[in-house]
This record gives sequence, structure tokens and C-alpha cells, in this order.
Amino acid sequence: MVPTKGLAVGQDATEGAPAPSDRELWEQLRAGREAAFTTLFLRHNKAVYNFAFRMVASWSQAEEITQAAFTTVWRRARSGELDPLERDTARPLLLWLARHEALSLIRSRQRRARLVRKITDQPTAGTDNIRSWAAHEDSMARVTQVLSRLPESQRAVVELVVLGELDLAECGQALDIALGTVKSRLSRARSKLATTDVAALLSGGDPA
Amino acid sequence: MTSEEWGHLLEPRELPDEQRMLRAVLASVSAGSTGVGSGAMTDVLAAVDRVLPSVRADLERLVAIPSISSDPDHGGDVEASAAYVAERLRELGGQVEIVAEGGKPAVIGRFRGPEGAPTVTLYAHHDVQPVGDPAQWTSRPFTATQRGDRLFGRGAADDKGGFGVHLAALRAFDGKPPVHVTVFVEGEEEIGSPTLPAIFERHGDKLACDVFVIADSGNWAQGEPAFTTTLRGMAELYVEVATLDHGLHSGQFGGLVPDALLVLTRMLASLHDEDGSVAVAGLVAGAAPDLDYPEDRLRAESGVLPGVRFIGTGSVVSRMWTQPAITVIGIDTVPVAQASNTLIPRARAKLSIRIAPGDKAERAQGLVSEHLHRHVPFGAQVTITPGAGGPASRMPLEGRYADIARAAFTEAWGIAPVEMGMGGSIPLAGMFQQLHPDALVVASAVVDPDSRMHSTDESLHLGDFEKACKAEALFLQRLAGA
Repeated sequence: MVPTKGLAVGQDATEGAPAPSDRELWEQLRAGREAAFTTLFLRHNKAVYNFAFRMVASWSQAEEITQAAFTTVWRRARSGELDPLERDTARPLLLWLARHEALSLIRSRQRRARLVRKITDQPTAGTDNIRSWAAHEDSMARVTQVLSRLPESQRAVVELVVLGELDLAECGQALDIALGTVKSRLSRARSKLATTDVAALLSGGDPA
Repeated sequence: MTSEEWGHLLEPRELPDEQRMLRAVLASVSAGSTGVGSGAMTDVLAAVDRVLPSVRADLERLVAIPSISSDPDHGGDVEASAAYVAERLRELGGQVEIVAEGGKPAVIGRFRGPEGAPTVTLYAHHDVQPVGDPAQWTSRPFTATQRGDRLFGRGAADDKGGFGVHLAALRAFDGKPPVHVTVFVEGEEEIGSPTLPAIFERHGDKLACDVFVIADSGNWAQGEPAFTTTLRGMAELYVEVATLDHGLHSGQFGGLVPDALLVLTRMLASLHDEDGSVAVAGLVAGAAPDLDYPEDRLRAESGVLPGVRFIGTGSVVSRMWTQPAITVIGIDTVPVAQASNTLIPRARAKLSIRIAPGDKAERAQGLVSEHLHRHVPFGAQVTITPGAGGPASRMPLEGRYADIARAAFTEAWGIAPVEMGMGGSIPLAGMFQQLHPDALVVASAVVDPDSRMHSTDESLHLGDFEKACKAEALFLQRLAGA
């Protein structure tokens, strides 16, 4: 089954006129325009927030990461250090920044190791209540634990494609690698994790 | 898990309060929050700029607390300043405790950094010297007041300003420094840290670190930073002389029986050569950095009266930092007002010996004592008793972390730090070296030669303060990559 594509581009308030593209907004943002930043934030915060959650298995930390990623963009914009957007959507770049923040957070707080240990020592939470926030975090932590077995190069691809729901081309742009490399890393990751209980999740990504 | 369950797991959610976060992000760029992780921490110097106003405000509030450790009437104030320091660290997310071992309270605050990062302990003290006559101050001593580039007030520099540097560095990282940080702020430095050994015994493990930063030394000049790398130690000696067991009429026996002061003054005179150099053989004297300390500067800073010449030989800094000095700091005898025509039977003097790095207090006391015994005239009875002693220290700035410190300070100050000695001692430094011998000790400062610490009109140079804050923040950031 393919996971619901829930991270689609959000709606802008101005329904009548065609919404400005990310690229147009980005150019205004580079000039320090707050309105452009606001639109981009409203358009993409949900994608960043959910991706961040899937990285760290904590809703509260996902909020921190989202805030930090957007703060980085806004500060660079205000200090004139924001590079031009090389693609049509800002999402690959935003997820790349969020991933960077998530990895710093994981390293800096040593949460991942402790959390994983805690989770694996506990009986698996039933899936009946997976909609509850805490159970959701526990289940997600099991996923991140399994993904942590992958080498970094493969893990980055899996995280951006499966957890971040980027398409393969966007993932390649975010990581600055060729499309073929994305495909081969994803495929290697799938076979490496084929016998684990996240295999179904991986098969739900983009068709290889 | 089945595919359907995975679908549930990846069901997206909305941010709890999208608008609140948007406001926070927009505000952060002007207000100074730096978010989490290293990714957002791209410019530590800009972050210090943003937090400086809040740190200045906290410094002024801290100056307003008259935490004079030597005055029992101010015991409550010393507790209040400890509480204020603790609260500032706590609100940054530190794990904070106030500790006391029968003396004044010290604050220990710990901030965990990333796994594998080095640990840095940052030292300052929150107690201050008495103020003397408040009327001698240009503005009220406990009301921080800016005049020109300087912030005046007791403790503004020594050493609440030192704590301000640590606060600025931690605040620039939003309480999430890139290395492990322990802050140690003691409350009785100005009275010689009497319970510091007990605090170290009980809590010393918490202060273990790779780098120990003491923000309580002195800079070379305003605008020119320094690391203090040597400290002279101290040794006291009591010299008691007796020639009679009771006073005699000076008209009757004067000219025949030696009095105690005649003996004592001749003995004390033997301690120095004609040029004022120490005449005691065997005391350690070491090499000093090649620094020029102009005589007019020395005259201005010391306040020596016109016409008075300096004593000793060798470079000025060697005489202050790496040669021994002996000073008579008190004499018990008959005061002039009570003087009568009597041969004084007994007299006593107290000597303060400053020992050079590499010497030991007991050794110096022994050598000076032997010298005095060899210079007893007229067979007088002399008793020499050692008093308190504190070791001299060498804090060599060597190794990787020291190189990082030099580079960070050079960048923040715009000029390379001078490596200097200090004539006085910081007992803490030696004690800490014994406790954690492998830690690199970096003695930095916010005080400059015009700060008049311990005197009236103490002040902090605000430009230097900013540079000191940036240097420390930069140092912590660079250590993270080491």
C-alpha cells in the first residue's frame, strides 16, 4: 500500500489569482520580504513538521526542529545570505535543513540511543491505539531504530523519500546526487531491510 | 506491521499552533533566539550581539545586590546573588544546584552538550569587596552606572562581569552549547575561598573538565586581552625578637643593652640588597615573558609617589611575576603615642613572601627563616614561625585546546592575547590543578588596568566586555569541532 500523500503543497489564502510559485516567493524572500516568508512558511510547515517527527519520533522535538529550520531560512534571508532556489519547490531544501537540525538534535541530546533502548526493552505497543500521540511516537521510534542500521548515504535517501515523501528527483536535488544514485541507494536499502518489519513501509515509496 | 498500519503511522498532523510559531520565527531574528542544533547556529558572534543587551541588564541587577562576603551583615545578599546566578542558569535549561560547605553559597550549573564533545568548566565568583566610603564613589557603588565606555559599580568587573561573560556565551547558544559546559560561581573568593577545599571535596567530581576557564584574571590593557599563565604563590612568616624579659630605662642601660627593635630592624634590613633586590639565597626566580612595561605606565598604575624609585633588578614584569618578593606587612611594638624612655624588650614582625612559579611555600619559609637566623645581631633570642602559604602556579597554554583558545580570542579581540603572569595568587587555580590535573587552565579576564578593582569607582570597559563574551562563545564553538 502507498502511504497517503498527505504532505501536498498547501493552499494559499488568495484563491483567485494563481498562487505565486516557490521560486517567485524565494526571490522576494531573498530581498528580505516578510510576506514571502509567511506564505512559504504556511505552505510548507506541515511537510517539515511531519518529516521532522518521523526523523526523531517526538512531536515536541518536531516542533523545535520546524522552528529552527524556518529560523535558519529567515535569518539567512535577512542577512542577505540566502542562496537562490535552484528548483521549482522549496520543499527539498526545507526538508534537507530539517534533517540537518534533526541530526544535530539527535546527536546533541543522545535521545535516539536512549529512546531506542527504552523502546526495545518494552513490549510492543498494540496498534489499536496508534492514533494516540504517545503510541504514535513509540511506533515511530521503532522505525527510526531500524533505519539507523542503514549506512548514512542510504539512510538519507530513505528518510527523504519514504519519510519526507519527496520524489526521487527531488531527493537527488536535496542531496545533490544523481537520480540513478538515488535509485540504487533506495534499492540497496530495501534489500538490506527486506526481512524487517519496516519492509512494507519501504515498498510503499516510489516504485524503483 | 501491515501496510495499513504504516499508513496510519504516516498520517500527517497539523502544527499545534502555526501562527505562534510563525511569530516566534519572525521575532527570533531580531530578538536573538537561535533555535536548536548547530545548523541554526551559523554565526555565534551575531548571536552574542543579540544577547548582550539582556546580559547587560542581568549584570546591572546583579551589581545591585551588595554581596560583600567579608561582611556578616551582607550574608543575605551573598545568598541573594547566588540565587540570582542560579536562576539565570536554570532558565537557560541548566541543571543547577546551590552548594555550601559551611561557608558562602556557590552555584554549579551543568549544560549537556553533544555526545563525545569536550567538557568546559567556566569559573567566576558572585561575591564582591567592600566599598569603603560610598562618598568617595562618583556614583553609588551598587547602582551600575555608565559613563563613557565604562560601566561603574562594585563587582561590575570583579567578578560579576566574569559571570556575565559565561552567561552571554550560554545565552548565545540558547542554553544548548556545542560542548558540555559546567558553570561554577563561588561566593567567597574575596575572602580567600576558605571553604573551597570542602566544596571541591564534596562536589569536585562535577567540575571535572577538559578546559577550566577562570574569568577572574586581568587583561594586559584596555582592548588587549591576556591569558594569565603564571601566578606567584604566597608564604607568611612571623619573626619574634626578645632581648630582655622586662623593659629597662633607656637612660640607664641605653648604649649597653640592645633593645628588640634594634635587632629586628637590622634583621629585616638584611632581607634586601642596596638596590632593593631580595638578598635571601636560594629562592626560585624564573624567566618572564619578553614584555615591555613602560615606567610611566607603571607609575600611573601603582600610584607611587613622585621621586620614589622602583626596587629590584631585571625586567619589570619579571619583578612582578617571576621573581620572589619579601615585604614586611606589620610590626608589633610600642606605638609612638605610648612611647616612654624604655628599652623595648620584645618585638614582632609579619612577613609576606611572594614566591615565584616553581617554588614552594614551605621551602621559601625555610630559606628566609635560615637567612634571618644567620643575621641575628648581638645574640638576641629569635623565634620564627611559619604562617599561611599558597602555592605558585604555572598554567602553561599548550596543546590543541590552547591553540583553539588563542585563535578564538585573537579573532574576537582583533589582536592576539598576551601571555602574562600575575603577581598575586588565585588559590583556586592551584587547588583546581590538584583536583583535575589534566584540565587545561585558561585564565581570562574582563578586568583591565583601569578597572580599579577592589577600589572606589570600580568599572568594566563595555567594549572589552563585548569582546570577552564573543571570545568565550567562539572558543566554545571551536572546541566543539576539536
